[in-house]
Formats: sequence, structure tokens, C-alpha cells
Amino acid sequence: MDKQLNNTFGDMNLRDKIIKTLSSIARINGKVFDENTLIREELGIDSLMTIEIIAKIEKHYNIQINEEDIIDVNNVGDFINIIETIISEK
Amino acid sequence: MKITDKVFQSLYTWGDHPAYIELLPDNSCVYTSAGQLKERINESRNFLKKSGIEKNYIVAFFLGNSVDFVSIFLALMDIGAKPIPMNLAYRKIELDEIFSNSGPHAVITEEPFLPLIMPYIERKIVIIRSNGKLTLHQSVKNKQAPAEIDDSIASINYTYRGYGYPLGAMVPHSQYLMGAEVLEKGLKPKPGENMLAVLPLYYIFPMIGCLFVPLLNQMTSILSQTVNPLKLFKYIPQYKINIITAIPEIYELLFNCRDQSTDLSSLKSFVSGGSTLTKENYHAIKEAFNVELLHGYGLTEFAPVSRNIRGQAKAGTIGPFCDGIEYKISSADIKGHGEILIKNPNMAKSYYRRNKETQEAFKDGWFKTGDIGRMEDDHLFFIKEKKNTRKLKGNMIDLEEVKKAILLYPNITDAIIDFKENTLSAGIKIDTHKDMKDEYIKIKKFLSEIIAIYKVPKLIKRIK
Repeated sequence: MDKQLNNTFGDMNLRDKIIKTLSSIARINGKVFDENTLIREELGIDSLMTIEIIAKIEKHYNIQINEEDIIDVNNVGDFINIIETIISEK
Repeated sequence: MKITDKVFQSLYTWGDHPAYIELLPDNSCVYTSAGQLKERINESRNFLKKSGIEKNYIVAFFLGNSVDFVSIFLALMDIGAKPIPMNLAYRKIELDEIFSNSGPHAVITEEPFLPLIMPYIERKIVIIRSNGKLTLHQSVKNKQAPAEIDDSIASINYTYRGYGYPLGAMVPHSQYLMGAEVLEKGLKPKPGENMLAVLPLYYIFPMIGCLFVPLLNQMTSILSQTVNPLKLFKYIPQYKINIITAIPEIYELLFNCRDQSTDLSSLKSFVSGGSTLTKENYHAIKEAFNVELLHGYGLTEFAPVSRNIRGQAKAGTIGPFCDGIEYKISSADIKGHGEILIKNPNMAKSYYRRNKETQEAFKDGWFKTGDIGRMEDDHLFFIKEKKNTRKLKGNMIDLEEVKKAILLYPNITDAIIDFKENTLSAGIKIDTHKDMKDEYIKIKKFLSEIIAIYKVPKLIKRIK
């Protein structure tokens, strides 16, 4: 099992924090993917891993993400956009 | 005795505590008392009969976790119909096989799945569940002849043995009764205790562990639509959850997202099954949550085969064999590893309309599980699968079926499917000059349209 993700992202911006979370759960170096990277087909992130990512971001930003909104998200960039929108509407 | 008779007996003597609490995505919750559940089952039974469903009608149903799943499933069994609980992840490849093998008389489905099953509903009764209501979407003019299936059979549950297509295990009522009884002996539940159910009820493990055990032991089932650990950590103190039933990966998720501030004082046991729980994870989870962690093993043909017992659980094992099960570790090697064979009068004894596969699996009263195990101090250890299937986060993958699916992609001439370290991969021979990076993505997208998403290989590589 992973040790708990260190929630101290330091001075990272939102984009980098999300990529770090995706990278940690997908176990793929965050430097090899970008905003066009497909979450399922290229990062191999399945539904349970998606839930873990959602939970960690929710906890860090104290927001609630509707899982149904994430189902149709294809790439990293779209995922970041949704999170940005939720945070800005908070 | 039918399992439904026992459930009704239990409902008649239920206390004031709810039978179900459904937790909905909008954060609302719906309470259902035992009396209300009885009424719902009666209403479902009446509706189904009025829609034309009769004894020995085979009924495929596509329903998510809900009190309606429970009431419809029980109503179908009570009518004497033969329900097929369908995996909602199945797509064309699985559905083609199941529908052609079982030839259901009727289909009951959540509305969003209607487009998926349109190719299969000609001349069938179709009932749709939408916004919590059932409506008859399609009736049939001419009455169909019922299937010839013994009354002892409760349902047809599809599973895999590595043939490349699913097999409909004929599950008797006595299997559900015995399965619930032996699980109860290990878990020792009390009336009024609260169980959190997060697994899809269409699998045999949650069907017995999260549907029948709570109903027969007068426990309140809390049905969650999510496995989001932050939400589950809220539910635990809010609903005073005593027992959770889940796969090891969900407990690992809870572990990864745990927070010291959460009140988990109501928790007593985690019931675990469906995939491998390592010794290390067993100890970490047990310590982190201060619960009994009861891991077990079973199959669609019989569940549970073995399970750890409260107060006597051992890390890394799948527990002692359940009472009443005869067993053998067949052709054991020098390490004591051999195929697990079981025998019990209550297990499934055949696959629907699959004589060859039945004869290969069931011999002289023994069922060949296709899994390799060993015994140590009366506890069973799961070693690996012998049959050509693997488990990924509780989902069974038939490697031959994955190969068949991949070979449907244009220009792929051969494929080798592998499963190592919890990762499904495929080596493919493909006649193309196209850029393979784009092609791998297209192959995955193609597969996700025709087969359950968890069967799409994470890694695809071209081989010579």
C-alpha cells in the first residue's frame, strides 16, 4: 500500500499538485505526461484509482467533486479544468 | 426451503431498526423498514407477474445497488423465475454470449442501460427502472415456454473458467442458505448491527455477504453508491457502522486516505474477499483501524468455501474450510500446493446449457475450483489460479476472452495475454505501418466499447 500521500505540496500550483497526485497513483513519472495525456488509455487509471485521486484532491482543497462529472473526463487537462472550476466556485 | 422463505421469516420478526438505509449521490438517505421491504417485495412480485413473468422464466436484470435490486431479486425468486444478476460493466462480447446461452424471457434494466441491451430484447418482456419506478417498456404477444429448470435452482450466475466465454452457474437456494449460514458462523453478527455495503450486489460474495447475511440476521444494511473514502469515513460514525464488506483494494484505499481525526469506534469487523490480501496489508489495515479483518475465499459455484473466523483470524490465509464442505488438495506437489477440490450437496452442480464444461468442472461429485492452494494448521492459503482466469480488484478476467476481443481489432493477427503483478498486458502481432503509440490508444478505446472496462489491458506492446 502507499504511505499516505504527503499533503504538503509546498509552493506547487494547482496544475502541478494534480499532476503529482495522478503521478503518485498511476505510478508514472509526472514529467512524462502533459495535459493531453489520456487518463485511462495512457496513464492506466481505473475507477478505483480515480476515486483515490478525487478523495485526495477533495481533502487537500476542502471541496466536493461529483464522481459523475469525472466519468467522461478523458485527459489530464480536462481533469485540471474541472478541479479549477470547482475550486473557483467554492 | 427457498432462500426467500427464510428472508420473509426474518422480516416478520424484525425489530424497529431499519432493514436498509440507502445513501444517495445527492447526500440524501432513504430508510426502509422491514415492513416496507416486505411491501416492496410484494409490489415487485405483483408487477412482475402482471408484466407476464412466470415461474421458470429466465430474467436478466441490470440493476445497481438499491432496495429495488433486493426486492426485485427476491420477488423473481419467489415467483420461481430464474434471475440472472448482470454485471453492469459487461459489454457486447459478454452480452452476446450470455444472451445467446441463456435466452432470457425478460430483461429488467436501469434506464441508462437500455441502449446497451437493445440488440437483445426482441420478443422479450422488457421492464425499465427509472427514478425508482418500474415500467413495462415492452410486452410480448405470444406467451413463451418457460425454461425447464429444477425448482431447487434459485438463480443463474455467470462466471468464467478460462474458456473464453462466461458460464451460467446454476445456483441452488440451498447454496444461498448455506453460504449465509457459514459466513454468519465466522462473522457472528448480531441483530441491529449495521453493515456498510459498497460492493456491487450482482457478484456472489456481496450477494451472500451483503444481501443475505444482513437480511437473515436482522442487520441494517447501509447501501453506499460510492467507495470514496472521505464519504465512507463520514458514514462510519454517522450510521454507527459495525461491519464493512469489501475487497482488499477498498480497505487499502481506506488505509491510504485515513485520517486520525475520524471516529471509527463503532467498527468491529472488516469482511474481505474477492482478491488477494497480503500478510503485510492484513497487519497494516488491522492495526490502522483496530478491527478484526476476516478474509475468505469463494466462487460463484459455491461461496464461501473458506473464511476466517472472528477471534481466530490468521494473516495471509483465506481461513479454514467452512463446516460441511468436503475438500481435497489434489495432486499436491512437494510444497503441498495442489488444486482445491470441494464437495457439498448445496453447491452449483452445472452450468446452464454447457454439458462439456460441466463435465470438465464437476467430476464424481467433486468440483474442481481451478485454483491452487495449500493447507497449514487447518487454514487454507490461496496460491494462484490454475484456470486461465485472473482476479483484478475483485473482477474476474478470462484471459482467453481478452485475447478473442483483441483479435477483433483490424490487422491484429495474434495476441498473447499476460497478467503479472496485478497488471493485465497484451503482446500483439499487428500488420500495420501506423504509429503504434496512437494505435495502442485506438486499440484500448476499441476494446472498452466491446468488453468490460477492467478487461482492457493496461499495457499493450507490439511483438514480432
